[in-house]
Amino acid sequence: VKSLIFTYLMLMVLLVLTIGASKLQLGNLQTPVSIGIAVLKAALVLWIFMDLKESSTLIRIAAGAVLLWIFFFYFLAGLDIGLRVKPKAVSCTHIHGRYQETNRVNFEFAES
Amino acid sequence: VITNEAYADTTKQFGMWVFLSMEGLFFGAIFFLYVAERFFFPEAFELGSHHLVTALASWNTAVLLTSSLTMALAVHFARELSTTSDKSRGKRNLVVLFLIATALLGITFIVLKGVEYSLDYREALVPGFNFAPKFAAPKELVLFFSLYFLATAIHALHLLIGVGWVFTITFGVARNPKEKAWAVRTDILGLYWHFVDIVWIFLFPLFYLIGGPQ
Repeated sequence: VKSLIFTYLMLMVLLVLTIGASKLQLGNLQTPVSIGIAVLKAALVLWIFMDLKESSTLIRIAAGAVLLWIFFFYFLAGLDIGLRVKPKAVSCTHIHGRYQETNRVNFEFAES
Repeated sequence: VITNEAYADTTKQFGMWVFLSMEGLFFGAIFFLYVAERFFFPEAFELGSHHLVTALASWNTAVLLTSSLTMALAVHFARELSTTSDKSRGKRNLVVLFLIATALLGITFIVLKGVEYSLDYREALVPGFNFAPKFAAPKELVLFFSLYFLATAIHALHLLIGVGWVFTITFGVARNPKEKAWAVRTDILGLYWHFVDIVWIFLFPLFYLIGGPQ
């Protein structure tokens, strides 16, 4: 019971931290910090509340497998998204008889 | 020595974990949609995040984390109940108490979420029903809000199912506390509940906090 309550207090501290961090000017670090704290909280819940700490190898593998599949999924789908668009570069589209540069994938083809 | 009973319990837990892995992939797909859309339209996501009701959602996060604690305590005492030879009702009452607390916290979350949706509606930020931002906004903002409602509504639906399940187990334990199977039943209910909590742990910063200070 003690470890459950301690885990809960840790979770609340992390919640206050993540809300506090969102009030600071962190610029590009905003998202990594938020996700980092979320991963920590999720790990606490998985390890203590969901009892992976005491679970058999079989169950740990079942829980871990999802991370592996998510990794494949994000890696492959991310390649697609990442390579389809070159953030600063250029998709040349022929609109009104001239080349127009855009810096994002052009979702407006249909309209133009 | 593995008894038949222990073997059956492990099988049930394993089944729940496999189900939760699939749920993980399901929510993984929704989160990937988030990654892709935010990659294309980072400004719209930052702007959208500033127009959500962050204070309410923060309290809601605390509510859900607390419900995870009460659920973990219920699981703990359900295990003790199944192994104890003590005939007093103390352990059973603790299990029932913590399960009811969990369900009430879950209901609190859903109610607060409903209040939040109605505030969003009043701000005209609900795509498909009432979407006409009262501030200068790029048209991609509708993507942020569509995704926000999709993700949070599916999460709330999971929670609603969880609340129903908690009540079922609560009545069962209260009526027939001597049955040994309540330990593992409470256990797999707990796994589901904590999983839904974890989904919110990621939804909360990704929608409410990414904008930083205004």
